[in-house]
Amino acid sequence: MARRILVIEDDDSTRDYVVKGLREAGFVVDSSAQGNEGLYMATTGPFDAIVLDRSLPGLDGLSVLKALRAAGDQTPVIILSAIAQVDERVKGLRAGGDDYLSKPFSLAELHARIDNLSARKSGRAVETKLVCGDLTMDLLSRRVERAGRGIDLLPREFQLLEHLMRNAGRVVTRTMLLEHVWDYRFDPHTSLIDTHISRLRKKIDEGFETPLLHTVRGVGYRLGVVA
Amino acid sequence: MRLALPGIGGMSHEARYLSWAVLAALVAITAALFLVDADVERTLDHEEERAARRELLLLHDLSAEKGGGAVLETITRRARVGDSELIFALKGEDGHFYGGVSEWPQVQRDDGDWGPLVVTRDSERKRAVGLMSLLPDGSIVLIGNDFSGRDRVRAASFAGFGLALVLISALAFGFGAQINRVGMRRVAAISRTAEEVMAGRLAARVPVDRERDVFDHLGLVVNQMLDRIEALFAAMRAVTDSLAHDLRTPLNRLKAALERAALASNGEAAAEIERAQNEADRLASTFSSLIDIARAESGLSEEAMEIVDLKALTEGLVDLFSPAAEDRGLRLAVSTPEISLRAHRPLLSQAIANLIDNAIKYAPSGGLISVALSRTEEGAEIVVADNGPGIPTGSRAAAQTRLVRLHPAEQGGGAGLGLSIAAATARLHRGELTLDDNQPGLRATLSLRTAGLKS
Repeated sequence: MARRILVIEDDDSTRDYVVKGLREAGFVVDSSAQGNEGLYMATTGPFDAIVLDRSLPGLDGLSVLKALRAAGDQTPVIILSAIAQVDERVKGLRAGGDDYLSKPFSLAELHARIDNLSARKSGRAVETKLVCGDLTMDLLSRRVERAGRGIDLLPREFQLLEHLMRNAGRVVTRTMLLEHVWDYRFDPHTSLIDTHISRLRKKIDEGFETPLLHTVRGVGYRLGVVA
Repeated sequence: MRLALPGIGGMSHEARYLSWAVLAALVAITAALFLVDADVERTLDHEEERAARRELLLLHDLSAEKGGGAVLETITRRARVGDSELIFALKGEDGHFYGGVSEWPQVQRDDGDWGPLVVTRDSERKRAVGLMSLLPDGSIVLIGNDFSGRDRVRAASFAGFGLALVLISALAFGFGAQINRVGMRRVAAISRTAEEVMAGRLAARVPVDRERDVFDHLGLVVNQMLDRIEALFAAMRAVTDSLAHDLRTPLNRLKAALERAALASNGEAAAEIERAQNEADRLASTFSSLIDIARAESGLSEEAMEIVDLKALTEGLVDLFSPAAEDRGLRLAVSTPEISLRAHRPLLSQAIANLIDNAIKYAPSGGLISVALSRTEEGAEIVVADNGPGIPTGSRAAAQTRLVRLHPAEQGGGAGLGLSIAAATARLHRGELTLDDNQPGLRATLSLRTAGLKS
């Protein structure tokens, strides 16, 4: 079943672009340009995720979010904001947002985050072993093997690979890795993440016929059997 | 935090104020006692003289009408029944004396003047006041008072004053202590508000009663000042927010358009579009930095401060930069003790990252970059040192000024802005960014002074 997304954004150009892009990616998309209307539409759900702009005419984004959470609605919400991210991000997450994306953002980044959130929402059992193709990760013994051959990873490389394996098959952007693996929310040179990835790639892909760690041009990375 | 005024000479200010109050009460009461005593003395003297002159007049008439015998009889009777402090005596023409003295005063007077005397009563010499006057029958009469009456009055008034002194001292001490306590509490309330504001809670206000005493007045003025500051902050926030919104929204449209164009193009056009996308990202990132600096400089970012584990933050950053440093043939060494303090996590991460990034850019291959976190009296200090070319001594001051003045780097890179963010972040944390010679290389020190602030 196609996933349903609600987009609440007042800037026509941004909204049209997001709606069009998400539809092309296979989502069913509803949209509103206004806070009150958006909140009403959210209650007609269920939606798999809501993309909510921070500043809206009528009811502003954070008020919509608070009203939604007060009503017991736990739909994952990604807040879009054109306001200073370092301070506003904290407020957005405190109000019950699940993720925060500051403008300007790319559609690919938004797409990756929606995938990530709705996967999180569908919940996962407490796993002790992660598998991707012939790559296995034992979370208890902290052993990583590929095709039966043990791979030595540094602690941070282990965390990085764990995040990629948990999101196997989905695109993970550089800023998402920075947030989830290093817990930083600032804007470093994205090449920093690339150097970490290339080291990890050497360890898990070098000497094997099929690469598992793929670069998605202009967006990020994806771990998976198919390129 | 309790308001603690430093004491002088081992005494607290409260005790000093109270001691002075009690001492002042003591001096005032003692002075009053002596003034009253002198006044009482004068009044008593006057009354006694008037009484004595009335008696003298009667005795004079008696002497003129009935002669010395009648006078003697009256004197003897009066001496017998009179108050003990009253002195009635008579000295006949023959030199014998009668009445209330056992010895006639040595001073011989008969002029009727009222004045001091020394009399001997019951063979005891006593100071007294009185008059001696020649009567028509030729005898000399002595009418006076010894001081025992006055002594009684004086004793009574001293006792009264003593009691008053004790009562007034106790009251002064009690009231003083109370006023002091109230005053200290009110001052402490104002100081607490100031601390809250410093900790970023701009909505804090001094509690003001309707009594309108001096503290209420001070509180009202402080609150008016805080209203004004809060209004300025709101205006600053509105400006940066609307500026951010007005610039980010079109940037987003630009990025969207480029993303769409990228999907529909290939070959040379695709490469050009990718370059345009990178430029758009750079523009967005520079703009974000400028907004961050403006917010940090104005103190707006204080709201987002929290307790941050600096050790984990620093080690994480070194870990993040290590592969990039190794690729350039550099070694990145880190040393940190356990330190947690109130800080702005995203800005501080960005600031330290900028310092490390800068060092990696300039250190020569094979060099060493050390990142050291240490505790200071007021908070913490992060030192990033490299052995690159550094900044020449002559232009270090200029470099500092440029950082402070928030001029984006002219030399094409993000270095100037990066150091500007570090400097603004240091100031947000009440510290500073200093650049020193590492002989050779640059030694950048970011100090934080937020240890005393509550979260």
